[in-house]
Amino acid sequence: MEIVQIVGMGIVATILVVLLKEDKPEIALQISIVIGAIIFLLMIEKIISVVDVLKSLSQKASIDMIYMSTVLKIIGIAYLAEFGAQICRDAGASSIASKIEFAAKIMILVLSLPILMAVLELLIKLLP
Amino acid sequence: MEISGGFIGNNGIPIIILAKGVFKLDVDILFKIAGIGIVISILSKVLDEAGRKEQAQMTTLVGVVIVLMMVIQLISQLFSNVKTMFQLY
Repeated sequence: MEIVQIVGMGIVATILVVLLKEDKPEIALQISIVIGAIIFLLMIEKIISVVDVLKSLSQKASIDMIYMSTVLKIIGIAYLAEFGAQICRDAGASSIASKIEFAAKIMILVLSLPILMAVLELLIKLLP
Repeated sequence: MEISGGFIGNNGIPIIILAKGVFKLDVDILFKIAGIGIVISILSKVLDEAGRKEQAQMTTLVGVVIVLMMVIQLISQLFSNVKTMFQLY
């Protein structure tokens, strides 16, 4: 019943944020950052086991490790960018948030270019 | 950051190494930050009423810096965990 803990923590943090938002919005923002980090750190154990299972499956299917690690990297970049962008948007700086998302999109594109090129080469080989 | 232990996969390859203090439920930092915020807001109001605007501003600044010190540690822990987990180097 870990979900009860997390929901309770979220509600308490929300109440604290609402309490502090009028006088000290900067500290309210930091509380929301902290609750995001704590919830992720609580979930990290489970994410690790899921990633472990995915890795062993890909080894059984003899998929090249480079594709798996690319997928994992893309997930990580997307998560971090989303985290930062949501904090910026909460604080009312949505222009900075959209720039963070732009940078994350470019990085994901750069990471996925080799796979795209591999697919294209395979296609060219298959075509007569 | 110190390293507490790693997971060893089935084939003997160390898969993921976690930073220290990951599995501890540390909710008290939340209450610490909220308490600092409440105290700082009351202090700055009192100093404002007493006609000491500069000192009230200084108090606010100091409070923000103290809270930021605590938040930065947590954020660096989060970032290093995400980096090791998703192999972002």
